[in-house]
Amino acid sequence: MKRVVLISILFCFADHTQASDSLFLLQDNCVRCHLTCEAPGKGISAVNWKKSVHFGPDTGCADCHGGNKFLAMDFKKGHMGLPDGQEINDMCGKCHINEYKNMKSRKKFIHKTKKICEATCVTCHGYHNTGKADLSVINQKNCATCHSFEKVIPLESVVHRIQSKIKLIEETIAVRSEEHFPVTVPIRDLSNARTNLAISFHSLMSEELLNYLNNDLMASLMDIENKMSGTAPGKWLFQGMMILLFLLLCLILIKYYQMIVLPFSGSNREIK
Amino acid sequence: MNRFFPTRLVDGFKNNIRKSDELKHSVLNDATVAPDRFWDVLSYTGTISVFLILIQVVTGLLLLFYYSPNPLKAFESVIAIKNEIPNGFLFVNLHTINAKLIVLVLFIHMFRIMYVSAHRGPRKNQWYTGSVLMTLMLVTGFSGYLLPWSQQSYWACVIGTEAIRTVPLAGDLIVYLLRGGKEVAGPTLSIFYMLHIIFLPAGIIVFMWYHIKKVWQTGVAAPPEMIAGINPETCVGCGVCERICPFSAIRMMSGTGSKSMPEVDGGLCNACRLCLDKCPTQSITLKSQSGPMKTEPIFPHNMLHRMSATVVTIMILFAGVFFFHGMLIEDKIPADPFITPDRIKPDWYFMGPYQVLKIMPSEFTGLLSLLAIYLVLVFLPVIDKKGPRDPEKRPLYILLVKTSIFSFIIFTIWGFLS
Repeated sequence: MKRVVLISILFCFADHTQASDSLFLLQDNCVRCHLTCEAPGKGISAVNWKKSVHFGPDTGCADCHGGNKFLAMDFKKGHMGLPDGQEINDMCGKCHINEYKNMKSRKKFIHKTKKICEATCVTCHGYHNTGKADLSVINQKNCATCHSFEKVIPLESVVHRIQSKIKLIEETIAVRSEEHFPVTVPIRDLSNARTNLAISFHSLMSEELLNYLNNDLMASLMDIENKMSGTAPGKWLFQGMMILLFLLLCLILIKYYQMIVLPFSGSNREIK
Repeated sequence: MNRFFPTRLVDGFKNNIRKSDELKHSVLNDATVAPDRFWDVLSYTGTISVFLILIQVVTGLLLLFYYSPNPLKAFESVIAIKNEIPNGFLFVNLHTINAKLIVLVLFIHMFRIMYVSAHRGPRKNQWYTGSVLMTLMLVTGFSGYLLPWSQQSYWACVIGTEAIRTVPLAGDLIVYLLRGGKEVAGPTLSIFYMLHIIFLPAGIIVFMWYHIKKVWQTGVAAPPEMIAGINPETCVGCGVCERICPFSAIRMMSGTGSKSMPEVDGGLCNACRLCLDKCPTQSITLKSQSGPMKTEPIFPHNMLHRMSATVVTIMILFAGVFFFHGMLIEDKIPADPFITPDRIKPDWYFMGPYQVLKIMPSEFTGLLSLLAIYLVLVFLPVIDKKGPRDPEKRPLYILLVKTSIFSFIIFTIWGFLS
């Protein structure tokens, strides 16, 4: 009871993360042991879970691992063990429907030959500190178990190039936005490219994936860059200067006509 | 009836064309004072505004092809025009910034007319049609401001229409009709869209045609120091000028022999040109009281001055479009009826009235004072009928005009800063 009151007080005065922490500690009995009693050499699961994008007051250990978080001390009822690959994918697929569908469409996903080659969602996205996969996912440990790493190097290289290009486009968008140029379309196109990148990793096999990234996705990123260069502030300012110069020329012509060509014969007439 | 109505309509139309032909002939062959002072350029603001309105019509028609008057799509469609249509960014910026510039030019036009008292006598019809035009332009600006459906435009519309609610008895009804419901929502956008693209432009075209027609008829207002001058050699003393003068500035005096000669009172003459047009012997011309003034034909000399001023204004417009668009256009966030922005700003020309509403003890008194100012301006030809035009001879009137210009500027700046 004391703990509840204390945590409630903390909840009132703390910001959202602290509130989530408090509820996490309050609601999940698993944390009481797993903060300290983890296997040596491994990251502390409760600490890693706090880094996850899914971490929040309404999610806890039991949501993935099963069991009863209030009876965590009861070894049988509280400990349901680790979900297997299929269970992990099914769990993630409840919300990430499209990604799940794409994963299922992969041949290897269905006809997995070795248990060790089974690729699940957590292989790339992490199991406790779940988040967006980045370039670090492509490494010897993850890939070389089933593939020769030489086969993976070109993939790593193209993903690196794609990420650099995305970063460059993001920086350009930020600059344009500060200069009050419209950036909605590049933002939308970039978001589509990012989605396509994710979909391709979920749905394509290695060679197809390499081709897609090298040709299609790279081309779409180049297209965004080209479109943005078409409305570059420099070009826009140049257009403005040209129009102003043209108008200035018109003004000079009118003045020339008034002063040189048009004689003053018509002047000083009576106003009738 | 069926036979009578079209015949009358056609006859009236023919009559108008005939009159226009006569007027074109007379005005284009007319002469006017050559500009020799910097502020003479202000007399070209009427011509400039016509060109700016033409730019507005052309850009507006182009935007009409792609704009979607639907609250769910309006903001996106404006962004799509800017991003996806070739030169769409240019046309949107041109239309938006030109709308602000037109009102500025029209305000200068109005204050200049007030300053030189060109609203009197036969030119009072121009003043009245000009007042209607100004009102229509402001309402068009207000209705157009909502169309991008951005956060600023949405909340400016909410505040603008909410102020009308304080009108006794009919306030709620007017707001309901204007918004097409209780809140600013989809129907409001449809209503404002229809007003902006059909009803208000139609009114502007009709009144602009009438306004320009009247300018052709009465000629361009001469500088205040000019009055009618009579040539005694050709004058037959018929007295038409005395009877026609709306300012009683011409008196028939006994001249040499039995012939009576008209005499012009320089303090009363407003150089309205009515006597010039009616004199059967064309013995009346305009002359300057302060010595000889350089004159020039309206076409092509004066027209070229007007063209130069228009080109300079268009240069200012394009400079705004290309180099200062970030400062002049703020529609980066789509409208959200649930989030009130920190600062709600109407377009610049409503900033002064908005500030008046803010500082008044109640919105109703604010509205009343704005209405009073508006009515004084509209009925200026009734309030200020006669008297000299020369600013030096009427210091009180000029002080009032200068005070009103100064107040307008101060309230607008105050509105921006507060």
